[in-house]
Amino acid sequence: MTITIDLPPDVEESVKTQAAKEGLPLEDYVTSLVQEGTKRRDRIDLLAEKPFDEILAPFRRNVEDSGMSDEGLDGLFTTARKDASRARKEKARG
Amino acid sequence: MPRVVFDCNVLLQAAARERSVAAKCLNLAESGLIQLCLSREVLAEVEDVLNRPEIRAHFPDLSDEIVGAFLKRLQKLSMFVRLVPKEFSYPRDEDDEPYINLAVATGADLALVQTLVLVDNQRHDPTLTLFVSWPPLRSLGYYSLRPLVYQLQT
Repeated sequence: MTITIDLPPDVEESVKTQAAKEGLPLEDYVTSLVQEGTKRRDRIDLLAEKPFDEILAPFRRNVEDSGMSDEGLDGLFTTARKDASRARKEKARG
Repeated sequence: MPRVVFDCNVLLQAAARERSVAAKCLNLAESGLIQLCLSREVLAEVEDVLNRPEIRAHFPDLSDEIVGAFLKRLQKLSMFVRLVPKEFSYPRDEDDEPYINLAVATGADLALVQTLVLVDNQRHDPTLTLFVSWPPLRSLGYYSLRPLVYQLQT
């Protein structure tokens, strides 16, 4: 299949640089990215068919093992939420 | 089936702790006892937070695939609104606006939020998660979460 896509200049630059680093022709490198992305998407789709408890089990084990209190976890999430909000606003301002 | 909006912190608590009240509420959505209402903006915020470097540094097993599958399952189980009209402005905390507007857009029966700062200035236990009956702008009825979860379960 042949498709034509317009890449933004920064993406084009990054793709060319990465392809050169990998020692691959641009076309082969882009094809490998698409394959990788598609496989990842398939894995996510498969996992998303499972219940939340199963999807989230490794993360929840991490949280338990960390010994973090509920207050500590809330604080971490609240700070991350504020940081994410600030980053979004900065990005929107350009 | 009651339509419910969860705010970002509730979704994050639910993701992180299996035994949390928030996770029990999420399980209600998974069991089809409540209809979770979500928007693209809400999912984007949850994704942003779970992708933050400080979160990943604390929890290295939280992978892109887990985050992706969590978001996808949330979307699949929800009444999903891509673009929510902005009916309500909340300058004091703009980050809460999308949740209020989502509740308006979906005609949600309940909004599950972490604090009540949204609706008044009285002091409340900040760790207490509460259901706020909707529409809060007309009649501000507050209920503790546990009795409501109990009611929904029985």
